[in-house]
Amino acid sequence: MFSRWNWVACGFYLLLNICSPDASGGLVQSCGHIIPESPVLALGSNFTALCILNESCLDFGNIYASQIIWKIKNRLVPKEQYREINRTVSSVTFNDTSSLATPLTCNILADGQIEQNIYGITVTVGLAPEKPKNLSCIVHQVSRFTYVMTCTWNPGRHTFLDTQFRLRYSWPEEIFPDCIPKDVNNSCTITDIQFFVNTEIWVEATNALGKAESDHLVVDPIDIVKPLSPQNVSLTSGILPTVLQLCWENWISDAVMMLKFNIRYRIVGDTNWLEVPSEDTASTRTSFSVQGLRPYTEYAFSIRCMKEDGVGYWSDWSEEKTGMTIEDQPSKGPPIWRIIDSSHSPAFWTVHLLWKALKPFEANGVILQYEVTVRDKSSLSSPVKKYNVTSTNHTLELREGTYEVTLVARNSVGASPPSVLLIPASNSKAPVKNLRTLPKHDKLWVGWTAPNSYVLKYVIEWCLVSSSSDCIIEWQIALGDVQGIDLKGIKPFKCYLITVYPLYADGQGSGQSVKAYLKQDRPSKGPTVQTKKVGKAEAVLTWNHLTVEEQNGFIRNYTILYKTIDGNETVVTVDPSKTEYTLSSLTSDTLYTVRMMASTDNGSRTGPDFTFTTQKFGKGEIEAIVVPVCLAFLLIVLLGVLFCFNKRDL
Amino acid sequence: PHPRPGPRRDSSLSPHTGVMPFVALLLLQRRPVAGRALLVTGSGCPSHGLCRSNVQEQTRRQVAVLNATAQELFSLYLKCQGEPFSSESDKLCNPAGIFFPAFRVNRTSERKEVMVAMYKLFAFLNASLGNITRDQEELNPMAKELLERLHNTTKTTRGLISNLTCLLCKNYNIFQVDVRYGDSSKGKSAFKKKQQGCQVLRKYVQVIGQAARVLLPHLSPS
Repeated sequence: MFSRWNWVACGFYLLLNICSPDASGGLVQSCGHIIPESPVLALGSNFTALCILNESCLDFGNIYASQIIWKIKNRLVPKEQYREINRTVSSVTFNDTSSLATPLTCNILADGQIEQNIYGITVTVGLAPEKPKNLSCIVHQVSRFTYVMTCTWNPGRHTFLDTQFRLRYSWPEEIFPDCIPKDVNNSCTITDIQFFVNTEIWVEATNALGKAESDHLVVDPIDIVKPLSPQNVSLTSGILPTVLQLCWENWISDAVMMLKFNIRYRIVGDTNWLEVPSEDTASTRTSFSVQGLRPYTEYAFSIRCMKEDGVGYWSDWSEEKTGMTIEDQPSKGPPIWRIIDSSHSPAFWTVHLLWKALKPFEANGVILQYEVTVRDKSSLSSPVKKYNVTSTNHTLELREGTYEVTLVARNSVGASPPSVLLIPASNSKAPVKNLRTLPKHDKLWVGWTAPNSYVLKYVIEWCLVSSSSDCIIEWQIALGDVQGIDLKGIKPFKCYLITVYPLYADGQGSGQSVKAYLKQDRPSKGPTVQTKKVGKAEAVLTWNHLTVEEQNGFIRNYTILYKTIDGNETVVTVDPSKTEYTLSSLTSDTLYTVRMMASTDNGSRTGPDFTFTTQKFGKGEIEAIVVPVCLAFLLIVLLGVLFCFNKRDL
Repeated sequence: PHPRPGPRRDSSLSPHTGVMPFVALLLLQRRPVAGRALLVTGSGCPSHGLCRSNVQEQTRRQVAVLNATAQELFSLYLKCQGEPFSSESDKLCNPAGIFFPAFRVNRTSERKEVMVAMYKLFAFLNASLGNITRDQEELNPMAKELLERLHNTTKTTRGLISNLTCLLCKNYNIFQVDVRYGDSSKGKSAFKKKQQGCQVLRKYVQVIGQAARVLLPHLSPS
């Protein structure tokens, strides 16, 4: 059916395809090949490739190994690196593969200097893997019964090749499936681990250039456990005011691992943690009573655990659990003092009792009320008066006398020890001596010398001196064995009046006072000077003292500065207690300018200028001139009249 | 002939999770493997470096763990099998009907004898637990906690066998111990599979407590 010519055409077509120089494979055969095919070479090593021509291609006309040229990435390889092995084989050598790129091609210059590619190979250059180092493993408890072991290592230098890492582990009699890291080359997690069997662990790194193995680690996984922190932590109060009981659940059974614990706690609001001594929690337990706490105080607790023998890792700290200790009775009585106002009548006093609220660690709860008891010691038959007060002050109207005031603070548990204040009829006992102050950064230190008699305590009063408002007293108590105290809350550049009273068992000393500044400054304004009286050669100057708010310190002196228009300035220093000064030896009928400066220890401030003109004539000078002149005139007139009369008579 | 231990798992000293030994038994027409412990000197124990002085304490801890978890495992097993096992376990789970290695040692027995008895016991248990686990995966695939506990117990048993192999080889040069395994549950009905499992586990609870008591003086730190 097929014609003869069709068969011939097909055969010719087939022959043509077979003999085609196209080296793409299939029915087409390449003219040569390179060995090795796609090598992987160590960086810096030497390498020789051979291009081998097929015998069949030699017939295409004058194709010999001597015509072969090598190229790397289309760049010609120097002919010095070639060697003609024989008619059909050419080699190329590279002494250092660092310069080798891909692809490496074998080409030939055929007749007519036409370059034709014979074969090409890809060349991969890299490094053998380094020995993995620093292999370490930790077993994490991820849930109650589940543990995973994560091992990490240093994979070593970059190899530029595909390098596989495997974490291998085995028992004496059993090798387990390798752990293949996912997406990383320096860690792997094993989920199937068993405690209490010595396990050998190591890392193997493999690539086309070789293999390296880390040092082998032999460990019982029970010795590298990081447990979960104790769970379901709870706090129970009410046992004692200074005790809270902590309870928790261990998620590792005693059979697997005995535990030890660290318990830490802090007062809520404070950042400092306190720790229960570790020796007290060095064995497996599920509860612990923490003692020595403050009553009625909120605490936060946290706990962690690890293997009892200290081998392994501490768990994370558990979530904080807060709890409050119960109330206890107040530990001390409130400090108490009084301010006596006898201004309206010396025989009757208005006594303002003042006391300070207890600090939380003294109150030990919520103070519900204060109980004040007043006993008249001058008259034993007088009934004791009792008052229940919810504020921290109470005012009494008392007849002048000696009283004993007792104060207790009461909360839901009980009453504090009593604070006792003796209010004697007069402060006749010895006062303190040598009262002085000294600024100390932001505090003002007040010191005194104790009297000879035994002092129970001292009361230090202070108030801000002001020209526009009353001196509101603040006070503080110091023990009888101290002779100095720091006052806090003192503001700079403000004048304070400080008074110290010694309190004895049977009376009270009179108060000694001193004024003080924490810090002085120059006055905020200078004195305003004016003349009270101006004469021919003198002028009386007057001024007002600066208010205490304007002074900013103790005024050490005033300075008067005065001058004429073209004269030198004269300076006079005046005692700070004065409010008048007379300038003398002034020039008459002259304009003077005067100003005043007030000075403290920290500077001076000058007031506004004031001008005045001295008088031309002194006091009585005009009379001294006019009267004689008038008298003289009168005399002359009289003499003249007398003369005229005498002349007529003649 | 008994195969000598090689670098990997040995069928006589490191039994698999239960399947292969049963094949071996089948081939031997389910006759107990006869044999005696052979005292061999000089050949050295495989993986000597991992056979350290702490292996005694490790073995004691493993037995303690198994003892602490055995009753819970058994109770959970009964619960997961449902009726009548939950309510009639005394009758159904009587281990008299099955083979269980004798554990006739006490605190005064020779340590070597105790170690060999332990090996036989746990080799048997390892195989049995493997069977029970396979059956439960088929019968109770949703009983995740039971399967997890069976798996953990099997793992601990495997570790225990590894340590016992160390102890026997290192201290007594014993590296061949004849072990007899129980009947396979393959091909049995679901009820029979459940019953065989509970019989083994019930006996296991009894024997593991005994093993823990016996082991204490032999493996306490000296």
